[in-house]
Amino acid sequence: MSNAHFPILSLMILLPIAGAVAIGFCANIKLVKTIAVAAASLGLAASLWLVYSFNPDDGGLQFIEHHAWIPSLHVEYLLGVDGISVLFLPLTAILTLMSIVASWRSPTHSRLYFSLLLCLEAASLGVFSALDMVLFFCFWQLTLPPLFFLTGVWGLPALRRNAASKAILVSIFGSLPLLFAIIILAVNHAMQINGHLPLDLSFSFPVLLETQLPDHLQGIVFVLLLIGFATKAPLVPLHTWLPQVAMAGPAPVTALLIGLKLGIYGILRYAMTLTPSAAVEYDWLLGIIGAITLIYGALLSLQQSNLRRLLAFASVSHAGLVIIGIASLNMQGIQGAILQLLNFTLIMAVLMLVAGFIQHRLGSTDLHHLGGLAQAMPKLTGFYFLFMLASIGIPGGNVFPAELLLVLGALQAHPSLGITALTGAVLSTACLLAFSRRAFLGASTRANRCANQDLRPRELILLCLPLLLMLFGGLFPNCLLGINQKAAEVWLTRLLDQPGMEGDELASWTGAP
Amino acid sequence: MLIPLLPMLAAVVIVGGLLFGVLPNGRHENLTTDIATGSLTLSCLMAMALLGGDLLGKNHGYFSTGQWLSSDSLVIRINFTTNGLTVWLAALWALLLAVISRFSIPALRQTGGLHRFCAGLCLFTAALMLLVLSANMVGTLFGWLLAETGGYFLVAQAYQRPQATENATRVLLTQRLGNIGFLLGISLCYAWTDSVNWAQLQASAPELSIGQATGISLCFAWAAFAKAAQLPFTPWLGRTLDEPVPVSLIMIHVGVFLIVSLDALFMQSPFARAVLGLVGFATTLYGFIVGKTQTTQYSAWLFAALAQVGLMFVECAFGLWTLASWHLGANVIVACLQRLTETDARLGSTPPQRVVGVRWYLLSLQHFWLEQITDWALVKPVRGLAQDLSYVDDRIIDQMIGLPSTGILPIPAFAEESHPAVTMPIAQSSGLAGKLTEWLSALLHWFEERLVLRHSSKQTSTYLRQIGYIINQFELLILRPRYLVLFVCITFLVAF
Repeated sequence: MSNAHFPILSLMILLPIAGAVAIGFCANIKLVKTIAVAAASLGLAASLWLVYSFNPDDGGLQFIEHHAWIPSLHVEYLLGVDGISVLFLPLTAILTLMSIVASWRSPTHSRLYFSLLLCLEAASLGVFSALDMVLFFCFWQLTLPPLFFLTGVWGLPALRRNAASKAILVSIFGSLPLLFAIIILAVNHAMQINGHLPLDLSFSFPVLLETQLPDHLQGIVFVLLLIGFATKAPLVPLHTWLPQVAMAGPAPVTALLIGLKLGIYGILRYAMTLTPSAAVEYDWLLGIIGAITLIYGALLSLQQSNLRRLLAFASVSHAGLVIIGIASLNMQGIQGAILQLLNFTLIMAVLMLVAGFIQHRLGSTDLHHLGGLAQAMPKLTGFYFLFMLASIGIPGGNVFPAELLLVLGALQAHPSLGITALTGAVLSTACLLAFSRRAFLGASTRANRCANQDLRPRELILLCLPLLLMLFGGLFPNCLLGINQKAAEVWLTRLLDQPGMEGDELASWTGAP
Repeated sequence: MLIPLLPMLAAVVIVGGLLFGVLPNGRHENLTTDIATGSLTLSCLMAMALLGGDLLGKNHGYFSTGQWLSSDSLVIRINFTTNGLTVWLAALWALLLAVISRFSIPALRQTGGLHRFCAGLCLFTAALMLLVLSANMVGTLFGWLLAETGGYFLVAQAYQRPQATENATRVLLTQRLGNIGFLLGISLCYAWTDSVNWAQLQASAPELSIGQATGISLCFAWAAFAKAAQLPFTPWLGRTLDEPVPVSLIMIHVGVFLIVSLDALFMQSPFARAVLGLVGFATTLYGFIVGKTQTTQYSAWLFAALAQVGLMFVECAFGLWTLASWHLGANVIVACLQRLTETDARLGSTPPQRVVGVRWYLLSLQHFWLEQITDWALVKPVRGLAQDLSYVDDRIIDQMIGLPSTGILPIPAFAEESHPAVTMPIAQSSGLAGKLTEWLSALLHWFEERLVLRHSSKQTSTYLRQIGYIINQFELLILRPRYLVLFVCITFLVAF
């Protein structure tokens, strides 16, 4: 672990909050937007500096910030990142910046809207950098109010109330087992050191990693954490809020929501490492959940006639793919999962933004109102096809190396899961191609009437940023893999190098003869 | 490296021009043409120079420019093979594609969409060069997938016509099925030889057991069958007739290239060679019979080329690798030049029945119903399953979670048979917890009302009959063929 000389993580969290507060004192909407973009840009710059300063050869935690928060309960303000979490910070910053820019022209968005977007960014950054479980839980919960209001106030009138309520209720339902698991972990720490409650409670993630959790508790905590994070991932059957929010919420908000895979990050970061024995023991369960989610999401995508709903189900499907990668418990699987989380979510978020552009122009993203968009909006169609093809794993795009690693990892560990992943990839291709054909190609229908509404310069520039990132991730995947290589090794060692694990069992996971 | 890179750069420049409005439709076509033909010509010249170097013995045989991806022991380098069959084929295909670009671009000026065509052709050329020259499987897969994408755009050149786009989608999806075999092959190679380089696989082939060699061979054979339009993947080839240039004719030969370049591996597995031979022979027969009954020149040539490709697989099965290589080169030249130099025309009025017999004639007219069989065996069950799952998601899971979405729900496969649910909510609630409470309350209420207070009554028997009806419906549902097949698949997957 290395401590931070400069509190860069706190600064990253505070910048959007400062922006949100500044917006509160500003009446001019143009100035509000400028402040929002400035705050998001500064956050992005800070996150890029963080990545630049990050030492990839150190598999431990870096940029640690440690302050006492509630001393009587040993709750601390503890922040830090490692190779697994560090890249999620710039991703969050980029997605927020894109969402703000994409919302620029909408006349209905008030200053509260931009404030809430910045608050959501701050809370998400907190989730990715918190190392104290209570602090993590606080940030986790703080993502809910902005989401509720953004969807409930600026969503489609007919659907927004239900969608916002449902997203919140499901998330709160997931928070309960999460909180319960955190309490069990903290109490267990006190019991392991023969201490007294509440004086010897510990919520510190590094401390809990070193604390032995009895076998009978490992399974319980693992399942509780899994349920808690599955609601946000989302995994089947707790996924139903996402398609609803995708239909009802403003497209930039939905893009941000799809892009921030907080739930899967939670599984990767906390559920697996805090309960390593249970994670290895119930690895098959995780794999089956991933496989079901993958195929279920892909099959439901085939049935969708609305682009936003389709993208939501495609996102659910790919969450399943990432879970399969995590369940592989090998380097290719875990690195592929991290890469997929970063790359695919970026692509899905951009596709959702493109869906928002279509919604803004035509008033709908439903197939009944689309058709032949390529003739009326060639630039928009071109960008859509580039990102769509990247999402199905066409080489050159950033999803290809991630899926390659994931599939190879899954096939090495569980051939059946690998074959399921390949089947899911074909189904995803089928649904996206079939929809794109009917919506964008063929004879134009309504789109002809708005032939002069192709992408505007600001939108073009907005889409260029993810396009460059997509090409960079596809052509130079080693740059991203190099950052998380050591951390992934540490993660894997923690799971597979346990005292109780037998040699032949370990060999079966690592593939050694 | 420049051989695939130049056409790729040309494709990127043209696509960039299209995206940013620099190359609007119908304008600056000369610039696009110059970029495309220039890059293809340069690429062709460099491929020729590489071939010359190989003939003079100047090439080292291997060229690497760095690492693309590494994870644990998996290291994928950007490396190329610079001798042998790959160099010959690279030169041949680069030449053919350069000639194709010269022939076809003037015609495309009249039909429109020249920018898209040039971008697609450059992309296809780059992919083909990468596929042929790459020294590792992932590089070949890179080109393999990009070639499919280039082919997709070329088949969908007339994208305003729904049939063209449907054809393109079908072609791409069929080939994606074949990619499963390619990825499985890479995975098995990595597991058993700890490498993804072609040379390493060929060198390790004698040390592999027959089972291992058969496993890897069958995986790559599956990929090759899909790419070469062998049975049962043949229907995609018939859907490429509208493409402006004969890239599909080249594409079907790529499958043979894959098999020929794995000769040492296939020699280790008699079973895999037998499969090659059987599939090749069946496809040859298919191509011969269907080709005889075609009514246009282009389609007749297409199936003739397919029959020849089937023969190449048969040659591979008998271990005649050199013959298959020469056959590959000769056939691709003849097929492409035929297509380029002759115009399409209706064939003469010779009664086809006299050529193949009435029964075969009827079969061949329908292409042996292969596409319909595929639809029935694969597409229809998947769609049915998706429809049923959609119903379950909307009507059961979504309702169970609470606050269900409103709007038009898809009609399920079994909606007409289902009865409306008989519910008497005691209290309105939302969310899982709320619903659970409501259901528990309703259940207790029902128990007390119907069974405790009224004892046996007509109402009770009605409820029981309804439960029986629901159970019967469920049984009927799971006995549908698609669910039986699904259960069998799941059983196999779990056992695997």
